Amino acid sequence: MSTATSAPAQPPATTFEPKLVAFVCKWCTYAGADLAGTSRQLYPPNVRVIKLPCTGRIDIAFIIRAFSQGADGVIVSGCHPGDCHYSAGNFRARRRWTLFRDLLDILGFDLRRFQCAWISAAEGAKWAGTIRAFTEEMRALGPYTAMRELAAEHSTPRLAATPPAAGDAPPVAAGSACPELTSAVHDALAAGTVKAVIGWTVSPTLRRPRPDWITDADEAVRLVLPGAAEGNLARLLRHPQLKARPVGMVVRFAEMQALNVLRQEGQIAPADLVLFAVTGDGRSLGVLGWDAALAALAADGGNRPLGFAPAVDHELDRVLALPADERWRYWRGQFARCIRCYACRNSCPMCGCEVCLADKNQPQWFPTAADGPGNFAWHIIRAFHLAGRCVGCGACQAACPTGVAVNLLGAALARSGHAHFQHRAGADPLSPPLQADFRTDDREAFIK
Amino acid sequence: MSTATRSAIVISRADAERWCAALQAAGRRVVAPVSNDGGVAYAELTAGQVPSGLGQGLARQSPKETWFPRTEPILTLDRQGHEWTLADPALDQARVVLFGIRACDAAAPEILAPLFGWDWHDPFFERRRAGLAVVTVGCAKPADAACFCASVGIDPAGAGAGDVTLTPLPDGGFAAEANSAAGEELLALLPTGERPAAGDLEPIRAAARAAVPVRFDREAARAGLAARFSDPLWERAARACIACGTCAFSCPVCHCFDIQEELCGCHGIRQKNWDACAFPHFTLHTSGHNPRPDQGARWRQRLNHKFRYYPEKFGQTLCTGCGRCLRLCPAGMDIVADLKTVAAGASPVVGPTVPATSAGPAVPAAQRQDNPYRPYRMRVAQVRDETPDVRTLRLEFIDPAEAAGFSFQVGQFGLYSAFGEGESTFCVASSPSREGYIECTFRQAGRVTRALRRLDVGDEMGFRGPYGNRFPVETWKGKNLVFIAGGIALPPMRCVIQWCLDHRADYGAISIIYGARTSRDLVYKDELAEWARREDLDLRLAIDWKPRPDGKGLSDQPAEEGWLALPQPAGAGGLDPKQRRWTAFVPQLVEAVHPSPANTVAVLCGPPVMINFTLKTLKSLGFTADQVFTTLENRMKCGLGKCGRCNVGPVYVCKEGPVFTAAEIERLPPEM
Repeated sequence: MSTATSAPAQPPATTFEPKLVAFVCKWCTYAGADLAGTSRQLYPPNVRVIKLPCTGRIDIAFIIRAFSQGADGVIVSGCHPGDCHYSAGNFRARRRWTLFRDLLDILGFDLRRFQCAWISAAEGAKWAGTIRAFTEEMRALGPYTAMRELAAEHSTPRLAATPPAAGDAPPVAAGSACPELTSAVHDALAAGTVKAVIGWTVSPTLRRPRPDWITDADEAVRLVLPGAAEGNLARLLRHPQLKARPVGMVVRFAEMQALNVLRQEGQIAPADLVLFAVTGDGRSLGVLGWDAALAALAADGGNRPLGFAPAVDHELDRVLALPADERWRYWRGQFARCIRCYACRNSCPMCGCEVCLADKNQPQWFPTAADGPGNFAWHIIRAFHLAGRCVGCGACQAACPTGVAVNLLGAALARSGHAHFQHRAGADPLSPPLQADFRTDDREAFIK
Repeated sequence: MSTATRSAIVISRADAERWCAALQAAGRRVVAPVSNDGGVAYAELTAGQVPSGLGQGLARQSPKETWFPRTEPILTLDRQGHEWTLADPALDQARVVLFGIRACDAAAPEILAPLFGWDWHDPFFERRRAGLAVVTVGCAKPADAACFCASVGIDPAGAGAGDVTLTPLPDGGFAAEANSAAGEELLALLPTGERPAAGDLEPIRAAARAAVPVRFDREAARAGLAARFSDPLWERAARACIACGTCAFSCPVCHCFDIQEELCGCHGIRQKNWDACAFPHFTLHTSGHNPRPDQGARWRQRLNHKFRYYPEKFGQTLCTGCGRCLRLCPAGMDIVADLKTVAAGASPVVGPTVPATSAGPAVPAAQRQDNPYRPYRMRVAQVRDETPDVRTLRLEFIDPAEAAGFSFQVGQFGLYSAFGEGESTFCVASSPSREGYIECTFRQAGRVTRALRRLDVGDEMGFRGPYGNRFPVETWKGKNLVFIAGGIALPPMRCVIQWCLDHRADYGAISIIYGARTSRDLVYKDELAEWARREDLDLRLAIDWKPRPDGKGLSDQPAEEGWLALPQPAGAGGLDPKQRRWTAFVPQLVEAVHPSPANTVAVLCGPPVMINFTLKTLKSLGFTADQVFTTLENRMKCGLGKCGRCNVGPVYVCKEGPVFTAAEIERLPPEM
């Protein structure tokens, strides 16, 4: 063997090949992709096609999963509006994609990496062209490093992501007793018009108002006004130990809005509820009917069409004004604080699934770990499931022990729903829920 | 810790800040309070950052993540073809100074040390703790009305707590004194300068102690918790609870965890994640049964664990009185008020309120002290379908060295991994007397069992164990044995049955009474046939009665041919000795078989309702609770007595069980 050295052969310059995932409906786009194949249309093999019955079946959890497992781009596609095999699956999907894109946008996600298209069974050429263009674009963009970094974040740094003290305000002062409220509740329980009343009592040590319920007229004296307590009594309607109906509830503006959403969704019957209205400044209005309570308390909502506190709106404006990469950093910092205690979910009057997606493990759509991919998926999915339902009561924000800005995502989606679909959560008990509804002329400008 | 060897010196705030920089320069990572939006939070200081929150209030979250991170990889799994490579994550070798933490937080790692170190050592916790040094800062006054450290025996002034104590002085400086050799080392890194000796600190400390009232008597609370276990108090107290994890996750000493894994392509990671007793899923069995069925039971467990079970087991209160669970609870749950309530009127007791169990001699801790969470790699040698949804896998060690070092005893259990999906707990279903393999039998019910079912002969899976105690088979020699099982509960008993049959001469008469819903649901059909042929054992099988045509309950007719209806009432000795197949519930069949309690041991396993009724039947036949053994299958994650999930009262089923006598179970809280 000669010891002569020769320059090692230069490895060929590697070009980056993006990994793409396509979630497609089987009736139109999948058939279109088939047509592209049978008609020998060439398109890059970078795309993995996943066939689903309908675009309506494309859960956002699939998309998040694809990205956190290393996809550089995701495309969703199905039948053109009006052509859905199941009549309206794609109309619903369109609403969802509109909201989902806005959610991704506030997170500082690279929106170029999530594309939507209508491709029919006859449009083999459009499929091939779309995938060619998408692959080219993603190849030019390079790997989605921001997402890959997040997906690899399996352990948290030692207390580097520190919870801020914001929200560490002194404990809310005890709510004061209110003789009018006490006597109204007492009379209703004594007369048997309600079997229980949901209200606020005082926690013994810190003297803070806490959600509770009473079943005896004699206990009515324990109820107090909520004062500035953040929390929403409407969530107690799903308490497993509180099955008695009709049930009374001490309602403020926030509870009324939440009840409106639950009524929209058919989750409660107005006949099961007796409303003891109290105003924000601590006046008891006695037992009111639904519409009267709504009207009387509307003034407490002030001029806040979407229910959110002005401070939340200002913070949202500030975050939205940041460049996308700074928004991404902002949210990575926020999510890094999350310890997955689920206080946000469990304090929410709207989160009412018997088994939350986060608690299901067959399949496990996202990690239960409080790590990068787990927290990212959790907060996106939670916010998205509340799109059109979140009334901005702030219970989740008040509940979060580490000060994650959970309410901001709710506010962003409320704005999105209002801007695109003129939807205001909790404003009208009889209007259809945002994501259960659609209009054939819902507008968007991003679906190819 | 050794007593302080030098008296306190006075340092200024600026000295303290320079000290942090010096510690960092010496290679320590410094976690310290920083001011943040008007509050205080613990954070790892970056270069040049000062502990701006030193001595100012209590941090919103505890520094628990320094010794017990919210999520921590404990194993990596990589697949190549059909082969898996398992590797331990590198242990965190960092030397961390917790600088300026409060006495309540400083106490936490010491409180947890016995739990993470009993029998099995958790290397992740222990390595982190070994790298810790603590500089405690005394409190001048409580942070707010939620503080109750004095009620759990912690000194708010921080005297002797941690390696160094800083006592705040009226002029804004601190008196620093070392409590240990490690503390001397830290103090040696103080930037040089003239520092006067501090005066008498006792008046300052006395004032601090006087400012934190004792809210309840710990010993009275312990007695009260025992006395009021079954009390409407718990339902009432837990009404507000929203079943989130805020209290547990914000607590410096709550240590329960979950084990989960994630697979991305061919690379998997197994992690410990914080878990909380307030979550309904915490104790939920895959069958749907939940030993703590409501929030009241969960809240009661939280208080009992902290103030009764842990003190009785490990000698320390599992609470530092930091008050975070009060302060941060979104629902206003009030641990102090509830402890006051139970303590009121209860007189302090001496000694444990729950008697210790004595079932089965303890089994010495086995191998794998490096990473006890790493399973053995096993190969599936045989797959047998027992029923349409129950399967038996025979496993052999891939590494002969591991096989040579492995042994287990009758009744022990293990955790079986489907790599990439997770672990499930089953008793070893084969006897140690059948050498060269172990078997597990499982019903497809959840994520892991579904994945295990996909395995074929030659595939790899994992096994951790053996864990737990065992059946005391040597004390049964010469006695008659009655084995009673229902449904999928024969597999956990098969090990002991096989053992006794393999040592048949050691025992007297053996009878096996086994019932299932239908004949299809009977497991080990080949073995049942073999047992039926044996002259030296009496096998009786039972299946359920035929359902009534209207669907409401069961009729009094046999559901299948060849399964005779049990005569009702069945008298003693009235059963045809040749007839093995009966239509009956297990307790009915037990009554009909009428085993004599004289010189007899009964082993019982099945669903809770079957256990309850069969136990009654056995008692009516004259059996005492000491004669009846059972094996519990609680939800488990670690198997090592750490994760806090399988506990029934103070008993860790994974360590002190799974084998108990009925007498022992009767002494435990009714949470099964």
